[in-house]
Amino acid sequence: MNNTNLESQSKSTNIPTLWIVLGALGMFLAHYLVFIYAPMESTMRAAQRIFYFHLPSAWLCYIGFILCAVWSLRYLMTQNPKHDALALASAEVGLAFGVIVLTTGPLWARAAWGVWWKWEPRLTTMAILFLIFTCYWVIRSFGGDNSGVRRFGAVLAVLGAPNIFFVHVAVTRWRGDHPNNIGLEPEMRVVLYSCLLIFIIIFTLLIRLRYRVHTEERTVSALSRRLSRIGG
Amino acid sequence: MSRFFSVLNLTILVFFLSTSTVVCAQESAPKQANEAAKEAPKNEASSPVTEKTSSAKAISVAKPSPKAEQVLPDPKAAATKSFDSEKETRLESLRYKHLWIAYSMVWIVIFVFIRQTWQRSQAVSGRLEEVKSRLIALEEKEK
Repeated sequence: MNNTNLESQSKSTNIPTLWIVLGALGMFLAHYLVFIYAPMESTMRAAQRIFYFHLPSAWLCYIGFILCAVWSLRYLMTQNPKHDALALASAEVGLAFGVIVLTTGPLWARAAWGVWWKWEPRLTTMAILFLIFTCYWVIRSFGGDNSGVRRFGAVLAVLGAPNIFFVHVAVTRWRGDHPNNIGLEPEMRVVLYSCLLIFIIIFTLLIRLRYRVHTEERTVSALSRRLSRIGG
Repeated sequence: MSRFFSVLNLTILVFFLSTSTVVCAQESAPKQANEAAKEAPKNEASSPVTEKTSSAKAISVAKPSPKAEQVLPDPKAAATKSFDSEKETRLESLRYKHLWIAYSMVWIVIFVFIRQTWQRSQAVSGRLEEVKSRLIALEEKEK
């Protein structure tokens, strides 16, 4: 690998400044929308505002895990390490949003239902999904960097991702206490979709950041192997 | 080993923060409920209707005439009303507290994730530069 190769690789994983500026501005906008613009809901009052972070985080958690499964499948078909790096980055960001869902959810449930957690279908399937991808992350982080571990992780992601379907249909199929298809006021809808857009920007930024780290780590390990072969 | 700690960094911090915030919130909720439960019988005991006393005057206060009963508001209902309003105030403060905890959790998770990624990126960039310079030096030596 020569200098031009390395430079072109670092250029391809650069984070655009515009994206960072948009993410930072979006955060301020989200503050304004959620706490000032959004009207107060009559039943759950202030606790309802958790919904504006909770729902976009849940959707992005799904998207992260779906992306992980798609890139893992592509890795299994092509053995291209870039696809594997993208799968790992998507899973990590999906897990970060999963942590948000699983912490804001109980906080909302305590205020709305009076309990932190219920073993109802949506919550249980979500916890299982989170645990499957936590296993994927643990295997990838502590299993070492070899093709066997990568393939094992990819298969786990491909087999674990269909659980997203069960999480999604859990409310309609098995009827739990989790709300579904909430009728929103137009202002609430504006806030929800704006927050979703802002979270998508942050989500994309995080995936690109993480992908860059994984690509650079692979370059370092490849160069180190080459150095040791040469005898440096 | 250093990589082991850097990978665990995010998990430990997030779980520590989430557990501590949840425990803090949980601890404060029963306290408030106990205080309210203690206050409710106190209010009832101090009300003139339920006060137990031996004096005739006090008994007359405790047992008002049917006429007076019609005029005066029902103290039991008033106590229930105040208890309900206290409960509502408590619930409202709980809702705000949970909103703030949830809100801070969102940004803590995002910032910790970015910080951890940034630190890892800096470390890898440093190693990449070092390996690159060593490789270039070796290639030049070979030439």
